[in-house]
Amino acid sequence: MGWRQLRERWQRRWLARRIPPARQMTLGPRSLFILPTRMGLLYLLVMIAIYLLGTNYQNNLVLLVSYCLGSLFMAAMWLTHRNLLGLALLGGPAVLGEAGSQLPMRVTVQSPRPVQALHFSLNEGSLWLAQAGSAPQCLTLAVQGLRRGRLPLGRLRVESRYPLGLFRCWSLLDLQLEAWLFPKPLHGLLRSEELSAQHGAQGQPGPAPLGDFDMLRAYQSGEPFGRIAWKQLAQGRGLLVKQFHEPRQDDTHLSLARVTGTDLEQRLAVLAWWCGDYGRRGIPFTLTLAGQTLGPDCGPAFLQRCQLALASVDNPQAQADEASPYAAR
Amino acid sequence: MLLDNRRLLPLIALQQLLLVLALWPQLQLWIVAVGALTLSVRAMMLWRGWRAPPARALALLAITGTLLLAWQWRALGTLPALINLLWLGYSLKIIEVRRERDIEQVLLLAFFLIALTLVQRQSMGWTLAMAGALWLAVTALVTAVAPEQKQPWRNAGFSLLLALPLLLTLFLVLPRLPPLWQMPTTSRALSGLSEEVAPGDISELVNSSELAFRVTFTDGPPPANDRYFPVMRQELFDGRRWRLSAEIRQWQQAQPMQTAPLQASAGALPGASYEVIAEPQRHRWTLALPRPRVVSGPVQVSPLTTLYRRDRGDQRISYRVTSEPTAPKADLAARRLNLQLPPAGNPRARAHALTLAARYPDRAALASALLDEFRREPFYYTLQPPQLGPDGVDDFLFNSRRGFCGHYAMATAFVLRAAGIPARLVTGYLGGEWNPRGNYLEVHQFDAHAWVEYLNEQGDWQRLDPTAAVAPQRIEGGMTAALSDEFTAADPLSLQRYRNWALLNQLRWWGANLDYQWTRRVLNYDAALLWQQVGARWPVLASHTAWLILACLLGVATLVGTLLLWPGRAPPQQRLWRPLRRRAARLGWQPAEGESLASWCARLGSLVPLLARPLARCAWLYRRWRYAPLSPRQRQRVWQQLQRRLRQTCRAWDGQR
Repeated sequence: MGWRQLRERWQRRWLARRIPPARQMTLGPRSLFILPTRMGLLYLLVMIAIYLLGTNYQNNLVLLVSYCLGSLFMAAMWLTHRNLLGLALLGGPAVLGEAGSQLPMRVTVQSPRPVQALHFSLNEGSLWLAQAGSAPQCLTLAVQGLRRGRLPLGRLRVESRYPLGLFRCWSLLDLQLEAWLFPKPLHGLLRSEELSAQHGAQGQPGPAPLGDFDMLRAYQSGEPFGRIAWKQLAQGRGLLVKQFHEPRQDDTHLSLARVTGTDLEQRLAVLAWWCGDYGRRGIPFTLTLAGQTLGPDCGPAFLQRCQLALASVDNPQAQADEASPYAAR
Repeated sequence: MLLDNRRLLPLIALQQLLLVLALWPQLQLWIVAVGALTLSVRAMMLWRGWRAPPARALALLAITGTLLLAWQWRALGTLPALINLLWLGYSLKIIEVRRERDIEQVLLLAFFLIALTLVQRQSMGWTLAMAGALWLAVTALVTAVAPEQKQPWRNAGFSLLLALPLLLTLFLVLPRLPPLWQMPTTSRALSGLSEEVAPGDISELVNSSELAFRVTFTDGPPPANDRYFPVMRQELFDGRRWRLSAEIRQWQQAQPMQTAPLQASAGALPGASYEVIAEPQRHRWTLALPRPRVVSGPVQVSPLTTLYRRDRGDQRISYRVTSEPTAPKADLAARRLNLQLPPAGNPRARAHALTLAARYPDRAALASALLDEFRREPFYYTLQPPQLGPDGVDDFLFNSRRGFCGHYAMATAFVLRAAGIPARLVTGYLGGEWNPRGNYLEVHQFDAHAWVEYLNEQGDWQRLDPTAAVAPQRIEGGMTAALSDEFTAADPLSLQRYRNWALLNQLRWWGANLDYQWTRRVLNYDAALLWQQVGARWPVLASHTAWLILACLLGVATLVGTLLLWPGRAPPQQRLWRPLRRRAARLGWQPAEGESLASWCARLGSLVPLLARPLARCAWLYRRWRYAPLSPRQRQRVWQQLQRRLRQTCRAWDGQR
């Protein structure tokens, strides 16, 4: 293990002890770090130069300017620290998204005293906030998700250089934010249920067709738009839904076994495509993954459950926590 | 944080304007023009979307500017050239802001320029102006960090206010270190007496209303006709000019320039002494009453029995002097030296001197006869005397008969020497203005004066002022009284011109005194004196100065820091419940994370069944106060009820235990 990695692991552990993960955090003196910025160091150099100027000319006013810069430096330190003190942060709910897309991570901030010029960053997503006040404010940080599974999120970094830019006060928080990435849908063929069970040979392709029209029934919230009987709606008969005979129920059982190929990721991507397809068309389906079967059901909420299941295949949570490559920066 | 922040540029422009005004005499016009140009180009880039000028053009401008400055370096002097160079860089940097680091440099350079300005200008007005510039510079910092800030100057002011306690402590407590190395002179065109005197020289000084010395006396000021402050004594006459003698020149060259701390002295002035605050002068000679003895300060007594500064002379210093009761007798060499005359020239004056010497064998009688002549004959005291020919003394004494103190003094010294009496020219200051508000004497450059000293038969130097014979008002009422209309001390804005208006005069005195106190208490302050006094008062502490300083600074810093970072008082609705919470916490029943007050009360009630009812009542009252739509008066009543209930509950709790 490299020196760098060792240091990062040590830092991570130290941070976990100092600022334990919590969904809700109020920034206190223990969770804030403060150091001069590069400008602060330059400023000190200027201060020393002015002090030397004043000493060599034995000029009290020049010395006074240098003292003023010195005490202003101290005041800036206190003010920068005080600015962040008392800021309350609340982590948002878990987010689900497609691999390769940007995920909106939500954080709510609030402070009894106005907090100025804040900078948030989480992984590569960053955000400027001019002021956080006593009204809760919801911030969305766009984080790029690359690979399927749980998105490795580093600690949320809250930083401020207010008021003079001489000091940088920051905190690294674990707000127990969670983000899952389901595989990017990829069209592929499904083997028919029987074939996959018997021979494991190449199966009958084709999207599950819609069956014959059966009847109209009342709309229940969450049902896909594709099945709404628009004509009847236009006639003023209310919101009705077309119901079909679904003759090939078997074909709507999705499982890994029905996808050919050796690459697990690719097979999951195919399943994701089919889930999305069924979901869009409003066909009830079941998804069997790792011995657990979801459904049969349809609707956006069920689709999300399926996608979450796809996202968490082979990805125990503990592992995701440990594998986070983003250490304290 | 880049310069595309539109609120930053006006701030920088305003700050530049202030600095240009303050640095004006030192800054070259073309440098200021370059600064204005770059600033306006930057403004056009911001508001009109101009493209940045090509890097090549900027580089060309920078190189040309630097070369031009290098060429002017000699003429300007090192420090002004450096200031110009800095300003050039500052102006060019404003255009060439690409990264965050560049803007940081622009913002921080402003602080250094402010300090450089204060090297040159130390009056109260300029200090205030520079304090304003400092405020602007800090505001620029705030604007750079928080561009959307509504009133950045308020935040900047707040930061500065917070810095104030520590700043004052630092100033009061931290002693000045001695200079670490020699800096280039400020090389301002300093005024002051020159070492060589030609007839017209002193009248040039009369046009300067610059302040030269301020003197405080312990025993009150000497009478007006005794306020002669000799600075130099010229003993060599070459036919046209009076010069310092060769020995004095050698002595002068042997004097090292000290950079040692300009130690002042602590405590009250000892009796029969006086304290002088001397402004920077052209030469290192400085002012004292006759026969000085140095009490403290960076000065020494020269062989001319005047004072000579130990430092370079371009700083303001203060020193304490007292007067010796008697002067040493002049030796033979001095007698011979002060009889020197050029071999030829001024034949009429020589002849006149010989006739006088024949008539008045007594030296004092001869001197007074000479003065009588000035008084009797039509001699005039004027600032604009006619040009004198090659035989200056003859020309003055027998033709023009109009002159300034220099003319009279030189002619008198010449005649005395020609008559065989050792005599020399003395240049210095006479009179000064008494400031009744600050009880000190203000000596301006226009108080410069020249007079004569001759040796009497006993070998003592006697003062002889021919100007007193011609224009007695000069002695009694100062330059203004003597010249009235002719006196135009310097610029028309000078308050010296309006000294006849009583109210304005009061105002002038008041301002001058303010400046005097500023000089004494701020500009000449040194914390080392404070520690000296502390050490004298409590000898135990004398050796622990460093620790005391550290303790003072840490104390003030901790005080301010604690006040600032103290978590404010909890809101009253939380403070109200604190007694009950404390009691519950003793038994480990504090409210759980996320538990509402009502459910906590209910839980407490189940744990302490006796208090269940009052607790429920309290919770109900609290909810009512918090959420019910009540009028302010009702709210007030509910609040009072809640307070009472909670007190009762706590008492019942204690009683039950």
